[in-house]
Amino acid sequence: MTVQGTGADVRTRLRRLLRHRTTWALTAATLVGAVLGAGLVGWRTGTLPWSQELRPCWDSLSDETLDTLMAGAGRREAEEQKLLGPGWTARCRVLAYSREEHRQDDVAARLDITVRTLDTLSGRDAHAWSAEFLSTGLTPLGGGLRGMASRSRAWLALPQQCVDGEDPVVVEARMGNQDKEDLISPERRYGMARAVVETANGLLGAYGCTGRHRLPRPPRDLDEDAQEEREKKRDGAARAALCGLAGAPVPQEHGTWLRRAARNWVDGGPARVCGMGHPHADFEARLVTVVDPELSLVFRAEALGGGPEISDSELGRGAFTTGRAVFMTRCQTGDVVFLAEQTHGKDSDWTFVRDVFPLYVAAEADRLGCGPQKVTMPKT
Amino acid sequence: MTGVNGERTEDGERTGDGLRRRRRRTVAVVVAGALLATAVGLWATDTRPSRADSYCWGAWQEHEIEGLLGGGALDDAVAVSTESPPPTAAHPEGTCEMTVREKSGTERDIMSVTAAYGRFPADEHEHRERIARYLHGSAAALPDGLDGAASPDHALLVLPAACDVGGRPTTVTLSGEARDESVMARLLVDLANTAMEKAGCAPDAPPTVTSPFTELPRSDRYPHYPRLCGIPGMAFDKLPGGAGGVEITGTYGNRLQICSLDFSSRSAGTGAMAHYVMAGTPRLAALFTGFPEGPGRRLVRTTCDGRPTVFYAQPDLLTGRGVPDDETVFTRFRQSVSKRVGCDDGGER
Repeated sequence: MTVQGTGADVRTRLRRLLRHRTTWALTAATLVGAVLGAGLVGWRTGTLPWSQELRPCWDSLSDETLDTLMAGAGRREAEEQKLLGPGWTARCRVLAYSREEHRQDDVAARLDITVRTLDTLSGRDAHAWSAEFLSTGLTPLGGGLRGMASRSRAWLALPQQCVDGEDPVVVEARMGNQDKEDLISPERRYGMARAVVETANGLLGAYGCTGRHRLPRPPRDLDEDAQEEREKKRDGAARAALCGLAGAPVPQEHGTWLRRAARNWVDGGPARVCGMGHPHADFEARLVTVVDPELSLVFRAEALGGGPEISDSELGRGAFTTGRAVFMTRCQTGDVVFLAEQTHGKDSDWTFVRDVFPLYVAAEADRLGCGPQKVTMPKT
Repeated sequence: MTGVNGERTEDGERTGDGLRRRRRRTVAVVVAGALLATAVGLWATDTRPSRADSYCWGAWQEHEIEGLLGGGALDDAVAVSTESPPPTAAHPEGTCEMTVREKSGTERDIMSVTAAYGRFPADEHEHRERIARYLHGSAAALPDGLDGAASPDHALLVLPAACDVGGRPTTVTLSGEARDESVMARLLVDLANTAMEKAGCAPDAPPTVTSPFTELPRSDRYPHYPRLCGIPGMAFDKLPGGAGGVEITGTYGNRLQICSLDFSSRSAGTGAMAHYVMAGTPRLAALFTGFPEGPGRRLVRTTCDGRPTVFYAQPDLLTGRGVPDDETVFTRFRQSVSKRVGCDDGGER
């Protein structure tokens, strides 16, 4: 009937059309053209499918860095939280699995990266964060970077300009325990340093900020003996300086510890840490100077009201509790914090902070060009 | 699909003419397809073919300025520039101005920059004025160790010694208004590289800026802390006219330290009350060439750990207000800063 006839008519026309070479040429040409065009667009806009491979942790960590940190391990997997914006916490972790047969589900190495804003109001990070990231073993990244690294920890503050706010926003990297910090492993430290710098650069890109940090320089191509020699020399010099207290009238019993101390006491970064003793020994303490003015804010609450007041002139404020003293003052670089903390000791040793802290503040303030600073410990 | 309006040939007709026509038609179709897909792709990814314009002797490309302003900013704006002839070896001077203005509505200026390439002035008054403006406390030392400083409204780069004219350093300066110091720094370095090429004194390794600014100036009310800019020995009597003071200061390792004290009051407006500078690299120190020297003249040159270092204060500010006296305040500035940068001789020769 009419409908059928029309249907047949369409089919016939379609068939004729399909038989027609022009139709084929047209279709093929359009397809070829589309592929060419799409390729061209992809190439010009950097969105080709094979350039889409994102690197772990917000497209940040390079294979070179992960190879440095996870040498010997097998396949790697990364997991990351979505970035919400500067200042919001986000975590990422990279797991490397064992290469051994039958144990390929065992995690052989694990790197944890966190970006977060440090707490400057409650003083919580003055304790928790500084215990982990301003501890013995961490040395400045160098090259003007506001961060530090050891073989198991590293951190880097994002540029103020990029995070829009006073509170420091830091990238943290953790790998393994912190109880082997006395091992000399420049390669591992270099890997940790690269990890935080690469992550920070990735975040700068994600947040739409100008500029990218230069990567830290690789450890000098020294063999292990020479490397160890160098570190020993540095430790020797630091030890001779007694955490900067050489020449100060340090009571005899504390001088013994200070002479054994002084690993990683390196100048020229956001903070300098002079640690002594060991968590498993009878005594453990550290002396810290925080020079970075933003980072100093982390200690403000504690300095203002974290314990009986350390008195000074109008120059600064501080607080003292058994085993810990904090003093904040204004130097040429802005707010500076001095911290002394003892974390282990026998009964008789707990005078360390009380005795040494005033000497330490005086010596360090002098070194930083903001002396004289004379602090008086409160009576207890 | 248009553009394929070739003459129809009958199917199966294999004349040479028909083949040629068909081939031509195929080519046309491929081109049309490619064009269409490209257009769709470009539209979808919001990319438009870039205009190849550039400003200030070709130093600033439009796409670059667009990048500095944030993507797509130039769609609703227009950039215009006026420029003198570029600097040459025979005449190593030049100025240039670029303004990015909104196309519609208020025709607001989004960014406006005036650039100058040339020798640092010989006239003492002009020279001091230049130092006061471009090394004000609000300027942060350039990243990546470059010899200069930048703020959102001013920037200065000291060029290598090869560009010196008559024993004075040549600089590139920018003044104007940009989003932040990073934008200024990028414009500054690009212009410097172009200008040095034209003037024939470009170094083998051209200066580049890649790192972000990690250290920025800080400002505080004064006298909130008794020591101006946190520097021991920097003490003054009551400020003139009871004006409120603002200290703006920055320390950039051993390279540069600036301490500015500005007043701002309803009656007197704003202006400088004190200006102290430590410059610790050869090129930054060269900016002070030509000033009378000595503590009494508020300029001391010394060597710190092998680095030529200059301590400078603008002499005509806060006169008679130093405690105990002006010269002692300057000497203490020198000593305190020397201590910080590990130069224990206190800046003595």
